[in-house]
Amino acid sequence: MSTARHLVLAAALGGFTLGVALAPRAAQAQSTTTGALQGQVINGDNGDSLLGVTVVVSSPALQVSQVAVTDDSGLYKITELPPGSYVVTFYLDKLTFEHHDVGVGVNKTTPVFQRIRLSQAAGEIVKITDRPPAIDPTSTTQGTTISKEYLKNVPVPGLTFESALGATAGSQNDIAGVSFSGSSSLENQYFIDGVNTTGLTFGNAGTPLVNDFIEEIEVVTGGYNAEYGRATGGVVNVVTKSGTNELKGSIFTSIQPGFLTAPAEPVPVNASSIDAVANNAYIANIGFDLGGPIIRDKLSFYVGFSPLLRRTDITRTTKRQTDCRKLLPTGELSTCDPRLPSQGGNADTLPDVDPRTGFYITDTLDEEVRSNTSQQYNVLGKLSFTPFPGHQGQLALSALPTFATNPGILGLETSGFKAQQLTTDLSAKWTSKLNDGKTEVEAVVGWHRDHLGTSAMDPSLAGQPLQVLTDGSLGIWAPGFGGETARTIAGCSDGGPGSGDVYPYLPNNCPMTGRAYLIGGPGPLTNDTEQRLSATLAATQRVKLLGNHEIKGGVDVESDAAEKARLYSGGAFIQNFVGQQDIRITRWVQLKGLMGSPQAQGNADPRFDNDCRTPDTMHVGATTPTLTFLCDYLGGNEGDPGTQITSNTLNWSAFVRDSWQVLPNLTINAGLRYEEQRLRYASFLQHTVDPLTQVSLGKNAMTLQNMWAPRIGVIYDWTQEGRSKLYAHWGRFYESIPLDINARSFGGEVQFIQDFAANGGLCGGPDARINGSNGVNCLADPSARADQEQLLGASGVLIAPGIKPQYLDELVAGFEYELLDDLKVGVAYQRRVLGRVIEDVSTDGANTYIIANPGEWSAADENKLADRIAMATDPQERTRLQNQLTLFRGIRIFDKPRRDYNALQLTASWRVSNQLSVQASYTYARVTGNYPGLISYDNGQIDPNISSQYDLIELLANRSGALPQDRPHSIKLDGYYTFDLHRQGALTLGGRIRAFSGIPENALGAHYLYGPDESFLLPRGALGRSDFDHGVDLKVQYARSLGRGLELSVYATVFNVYDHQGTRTIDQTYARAVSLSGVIQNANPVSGGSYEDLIWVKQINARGDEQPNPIGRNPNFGNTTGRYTPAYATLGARLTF
Amino acid sequence: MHLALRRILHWLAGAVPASLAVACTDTASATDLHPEGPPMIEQVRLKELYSVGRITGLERVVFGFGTHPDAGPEDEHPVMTASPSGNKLRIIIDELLRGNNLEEIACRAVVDDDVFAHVPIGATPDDIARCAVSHDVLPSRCPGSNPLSVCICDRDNGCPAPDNSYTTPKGQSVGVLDMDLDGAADNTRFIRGAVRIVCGAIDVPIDLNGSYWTPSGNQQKPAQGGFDALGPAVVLVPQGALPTSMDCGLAFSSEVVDKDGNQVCAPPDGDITRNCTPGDTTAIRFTVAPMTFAVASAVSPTGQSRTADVVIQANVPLDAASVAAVTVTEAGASYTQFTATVGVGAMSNQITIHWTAPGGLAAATAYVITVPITVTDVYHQPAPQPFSIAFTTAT
Repeated sequence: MSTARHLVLAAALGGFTLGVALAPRAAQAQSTTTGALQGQVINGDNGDSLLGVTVVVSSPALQVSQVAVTDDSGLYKITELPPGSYVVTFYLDKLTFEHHDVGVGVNKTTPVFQRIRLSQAAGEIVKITDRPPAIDPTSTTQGTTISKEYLKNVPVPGLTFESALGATAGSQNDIAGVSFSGSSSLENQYFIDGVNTTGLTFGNAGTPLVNDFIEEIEVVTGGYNAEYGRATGGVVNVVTKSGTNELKGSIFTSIQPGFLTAPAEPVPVNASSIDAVANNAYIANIGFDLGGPIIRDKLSFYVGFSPLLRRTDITRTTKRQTDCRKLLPTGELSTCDPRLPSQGGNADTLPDVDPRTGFYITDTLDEEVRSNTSQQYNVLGKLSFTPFPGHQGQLALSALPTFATNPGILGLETSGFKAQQLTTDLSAKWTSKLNDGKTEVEAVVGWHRDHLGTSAMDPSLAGQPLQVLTDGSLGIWAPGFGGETARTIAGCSDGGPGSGDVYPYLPNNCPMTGRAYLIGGPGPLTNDTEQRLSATLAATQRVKLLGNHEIKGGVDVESDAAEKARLYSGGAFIQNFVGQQDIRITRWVQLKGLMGSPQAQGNADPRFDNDCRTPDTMHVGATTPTLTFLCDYLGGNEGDPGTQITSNTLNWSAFVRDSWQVLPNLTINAGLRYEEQRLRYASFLQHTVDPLTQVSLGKNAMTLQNMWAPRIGVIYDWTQEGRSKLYAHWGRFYESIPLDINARSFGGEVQFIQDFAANGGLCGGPDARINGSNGVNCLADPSARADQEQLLGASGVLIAPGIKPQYLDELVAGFEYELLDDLKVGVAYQRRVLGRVIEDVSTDGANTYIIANPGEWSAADENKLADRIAMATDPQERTRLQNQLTLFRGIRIFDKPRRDYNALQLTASWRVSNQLSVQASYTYARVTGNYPGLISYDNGQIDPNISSQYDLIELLANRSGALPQDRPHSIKLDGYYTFDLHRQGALTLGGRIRAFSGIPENALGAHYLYGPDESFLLPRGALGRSDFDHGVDLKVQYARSLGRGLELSVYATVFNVYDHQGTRTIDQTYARAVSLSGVIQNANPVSGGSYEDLIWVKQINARGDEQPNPIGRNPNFGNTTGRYTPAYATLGARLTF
Repeated sequence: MHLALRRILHWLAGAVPASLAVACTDTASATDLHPEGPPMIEQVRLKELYSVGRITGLERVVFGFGTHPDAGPEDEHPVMTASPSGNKLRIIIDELLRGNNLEEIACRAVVDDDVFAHVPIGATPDDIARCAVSHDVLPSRCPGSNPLSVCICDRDNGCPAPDNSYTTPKGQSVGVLDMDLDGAADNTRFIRGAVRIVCGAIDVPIDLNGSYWTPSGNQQKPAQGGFDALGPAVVLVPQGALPTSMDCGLAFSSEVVDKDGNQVCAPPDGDITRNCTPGDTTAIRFTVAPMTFAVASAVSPTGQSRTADVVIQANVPLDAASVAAVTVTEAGASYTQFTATVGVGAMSNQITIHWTAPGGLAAATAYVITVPITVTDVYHQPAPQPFSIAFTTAT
């Protein structure tokens, strides 16, 4: 397998490198922000190990060169090296060998092996220019490393780091980020400079750092060792640039202008009169970064500033249906004649339909552009210091203020909102090497904070409720509220012949049956702050015992906290079902206690001055009595009492792992990790009595312990030259539950819903602007009793005794092999199986929710509760516990959540210096089961661990099948090549190819209690999948030296070169909650059914009773609702010095 | 590029080990049905009459055939007193049947002898939507030549539109009735004879509009509806009443089959782990409660009005002709100056005794009205014993 090598004087000197070579040291002695170099020096004359060879590594990335001396086995290892390009020099007597351009990556070990013939001529410096292969023979991790060269030369479809993560084999975008290895994106963990920056509420990427400040991104998608935890997806390590002993910097800019963006293909919604298409107007950034020494070899700095400005123009197209055509004998449609047939025309009082597509034929009335804008300012400052050799420190601060404006689109412009966000990260890191480098200590403390606030577009509407009008006519609403253009108002006007109505026999020219129309204030208000304080302490010790051991142990602790607003503008949210003459008012409320209870009677807080009523569905009998609570309607201004919910979680973990090199080419990595999570009640609930159950609430709502996560891996290099590795790894990984569950399930979240008949009465008579009652009138009397009233969440939340944490098990096996010089190929199999899930379930028909492990509740916990019941002397307590026992037993009925990921991955990478880099992957992966993860993709719900997926037994039917992440074929090809034009500069061509299987398609219906898209009418994926998606991106970059260390580069990037706007989402709603004729039409799943069965599915009315009538069909079912980004180009320039 | 790509993918997919492509997963769900073998009737729920102490005539819905793990003793037992009126049978099957042979969809015009038409096997909601478009577009969107088109006119002289504005020729679609323009049929109707209630020689008429097939559901009780939302199910509503005192069973048309073409059967006790012969539903039996009578008008034992009609109400509609057998005695002797008639419609279960003598009955006289067992329900089923009312008229 020996291959040609680019050696200088190699033949003459007889020394040569083995590149990656053997893996003579235990692996893993690097932190999440640094890498390592290791190797062995051997006497080329006799093959013996050479003791006492001095190894020096230097790099612009280092403040001070690092030194090691080979031991009696000829082994050396140098750790805590920042990512970058290194020179590795071996000194023995008067012999010197230099390896240039040795890459060190984050969390990677680059082996450099040296063979020295002592008989060779002394005094010369042997420069060895070949590069060690990229195979890390000490690690089983799956994933990829994204270097700053990649970010610079390959077209990356975005300006922040998340946009580059798609380079990872098997990754795909989902609605909240990038998902890896079949998990949802909310199961990832994100680190920047070693500090956890994962979003606290949901688990998304918390800090969207701009790519210009990034040195390297490491994406770990599997096979990771015990240092990593709290992730069942991937781990993303971002390392920012650092200052060095050289003063370096750059000024950069890029712009994605609207005129270089292809128009987005429209996604019309059948039976609606407003279509909206978003087109980029511009995305531009300009900024600089600068790094250099403050005290040479001791202290350096790095600063960066990059404003990022965006504007997206949303073109609203208003349209009206026509009634003027008929089908001719030729099969073509006639010309338009809106008169009646008796008058020689073609009007038949029904809207015309295109016979080819089934879509209604419409006239475009007018177009209007509304723009979303945002301004984001990336600021980064960093100090790196090396006070003493072997001791390094780092302080980093990033701030990311963002200001955005989002006007209302499907309604009045003023129904939108403004947002202000500030994301801040502060980190401090210290590492010390002791005991001749055999001992290392690392400490990291960090603070991640994010604040998001929203406010009304129009300050005068800040106190107004948001009202959503549905199932009416734009012909009424447009002139009524003045939010549409004169042409739209005129075009939608309905009237008889002679009235000016172009289609006088069509009763509703501009129906709004597929979309809502928003008026009023901004609706849900946000005043949210979340923050994480974290600290990590780890130590590494290298020892020799039956081989070489590198033992690392550590602890970390995180205190996560969030403060969330619970407030609607105007104190309420109004859904006005105009077509059904029904108005629903939803309010956030806080309960004090049942009327007559000690809490209610003893209440002295004047806030609690309302009655909140709900049916007592637990009552057995012919009639359902009403429960009345003393409550407070949460309203007013942000920050008013009751409107801010504070919650927190304490996480801690400890780990130990041993990387044991049994033989020079055989390494065993074994580790064990322990984690705990303590999720707490909202602060206002702690140490209070539940108003309904009378249960005393403590501090911790849920404590997850005994999260033991073993990891074991083995790596074997059959070439014994470091050019191969055969590996396998098994591990258990626990989920870190985001804070959303604290704010909702453990935060006393209660909504009071009132349904008013809107044909007069309490909501007043018809408002001519709406053609029905105005929902605002329903709020006039806060004490008014509605026709139906219900409290959601009033029954409280139970936690299943003995609840266990959510985890998955993973097996990774594969091999990598250096096929040719610098060409690495690999094959890997990865299997991930969810072992247990935490979700909320209801075993009593949505009266009580239990945070549980669906499908499992142990006999031991049942017996414990039974014993408590037996010992209970208070009859009420006994009844309460008996009721709980019945509820908990019901947990077992639920299917155990499953998500099985099986993937075969073929990878190849080819990198020659910085001139050429190609990485390619093909992944065949299946993701099947009944639980996609922390995102409920099918209805868009993002509520980790408390989604609706497991709430009711009937919602489980048909959930098994190809999960939304199931896109079996995934092809990725990224690369670039630099043409050296010598004095004329350099030209770099970069490219990216992507191809994916389509998305599984479903048929969804509404559930009588849970609303739209909760019922899987047919088995998951029964309707096939959307089209195969593919795209090509290209980048051309020219760089030229301007002298005096200045280099100017300019580039142009074209994304989606052939403008393939593939389907991203389709309308999966087969049956809307309300039919077009205004009938409530929920539907239960057809277990194991096929498409033809849907013809016979029957309606379930608002009370949950089955009717003999068939369900209607959503006219837009199966149509594309979202497409991938159209072709666009960016232009940019960078001046470096 | 696209085609080449697909070829590569095809090759790569073929190279994947079978063990990977068919990953070892357990997909069983508590909500699964049992499509293997013939479709079996797992439960039949119907309403029965029962008594609590001296309170009679109470009604409840029970499992008259089969049971459910959550059912208590009062929920499941053989039904010997099925409510003869207002009953509804929910026949829960362990797998999906072809709805095409159980229901028809409503069309815009008469297609044969009515406005309902079969849906061809294989037709999907897309085919319904194709044929739910405007009349002028129908010939191209829903051509009669497409075997999956629906609402095809089957009358030699064509099918006139309801307002006679046009006539659809035979072999072409008249269009699906879709007033709300959502692309789905507005209405369906149960197919006569698809599932029958057979009581002896009596084939009980079925309310075709009230009966239906629902493919939704499984053996898990949903939050709302409880046992009465188990499915999939045929819901049968008798037209009128069930024949009293009769032993009844169910008969499925041989065309009612599952997706593999198997006929429905009923295993012993609804135990689907046991076998049954396709088409054999004899395991399902229930007995209808006997005919009973009660006085439905004010009758005073000792001071009855001499002129007021006496109304006797049965628990089922009555055979009007048989009511002539009602007798009245006056002081022990036969009395004939009265008429006994049965109401119509909702009143068809009432016998009204009207006194025809001038001035009505004699004063202070004892009368006995007897409804003999020859007074029958509409199926000519008698009451188990005569019913009598005795009173003395006022002075």
